[in-house]
Amino acid sequence: MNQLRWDPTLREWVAYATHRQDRTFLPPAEYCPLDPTKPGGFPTEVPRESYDIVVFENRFPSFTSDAPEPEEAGSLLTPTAPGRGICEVVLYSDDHYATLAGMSERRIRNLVEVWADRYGELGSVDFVEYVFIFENKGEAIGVTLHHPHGQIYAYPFIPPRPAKELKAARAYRSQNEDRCLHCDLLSKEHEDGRRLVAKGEHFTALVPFYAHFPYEAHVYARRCAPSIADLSGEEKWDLARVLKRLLGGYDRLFGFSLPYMMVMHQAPTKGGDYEGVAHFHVEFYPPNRTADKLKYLAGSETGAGAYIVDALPEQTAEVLGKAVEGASS
Amino acid sequence: MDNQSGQNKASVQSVCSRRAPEMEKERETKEDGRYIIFYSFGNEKTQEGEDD
Repeated sequence: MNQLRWDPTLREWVAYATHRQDRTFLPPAEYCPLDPTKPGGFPTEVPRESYDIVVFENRFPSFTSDAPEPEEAGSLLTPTAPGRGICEVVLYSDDHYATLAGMSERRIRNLVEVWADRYGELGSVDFVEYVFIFENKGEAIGVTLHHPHGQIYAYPFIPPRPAKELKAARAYRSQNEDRCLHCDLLSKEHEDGRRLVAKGEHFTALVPFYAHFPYEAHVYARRCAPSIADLSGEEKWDLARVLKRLLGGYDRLFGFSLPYMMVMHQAPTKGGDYEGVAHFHVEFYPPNRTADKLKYLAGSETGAGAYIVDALPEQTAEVLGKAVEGASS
Repeated sequence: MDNQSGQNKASVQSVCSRRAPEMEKERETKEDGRYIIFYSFGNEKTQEGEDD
């Protein structure tokens, strides 16, 4: 059952997908459903003995393309809607023990190509308004399968956080001679330099001035490209390279494979012109504030929406920058 | 960061000269009706020097 319910107090949709309660939870490695299917072995999600990169529809989707009208009718004040969308799983490798950080630049470049392809294909579906590409990594984030994979949610609406970001960028643009908010922020970060952690030819990784997590990092296209599909071949290579450098730094930071949420913010796939408003970038939110302490989204963050952070971005950027340099050398 | 940018530039140029990967895409339907797409890349097995 997939349905949406409107929260009129926050003016946002909440998705319900009750069948997800039954999804596979941390199976032992030998029963990983994302591994290739081996001869004589149990059938996994992938009916081949090996693969490069695979995308398939999630068996336990939060949204489905054929979601029926909800049984709960709702009201004018609190309407409901079918949970119509598409949820995909992206398998980065057939190696169960691989991580994105440990993969070659070339494989990450291939993955960038797949992400761009999915953005284009899913974005062309009539009911899809926003293609959200993300990865949850590590049990601290709540992953249920360790195999290296990400996900894509093709939403039937623009989700609240990107919508808020787009609204801010549009307001900034109208008040500042059509300038892009993200380009101006990036320019300021380059001028300052203290929060930069990796620079490529076309992409920059930085801890933002207003980071919500101690080791949050954003990877920005330096050109104002609205989406991953707008990147040139050279830009895609550089994105792969900068992602690998940042991820190497993350794993070096505390000496273990760092959990994180990785999300991509880019242009919605319907609703007009996003030139100079949407600016493709990747955001990372690692939950660790130290090697053995996590940043929880507790009362202030969850109930008030006000983040309290235990370290200044300049301090964490310096530490993370050194870890990136160490991992790259 | 400044000291690093020179090193970055040298290695970035070699990155930029790389060709875009040739991507092949095969779409199949699973027994339960869900789709699965196999992406394969010619560069995966032909190039050397990386850690796949």
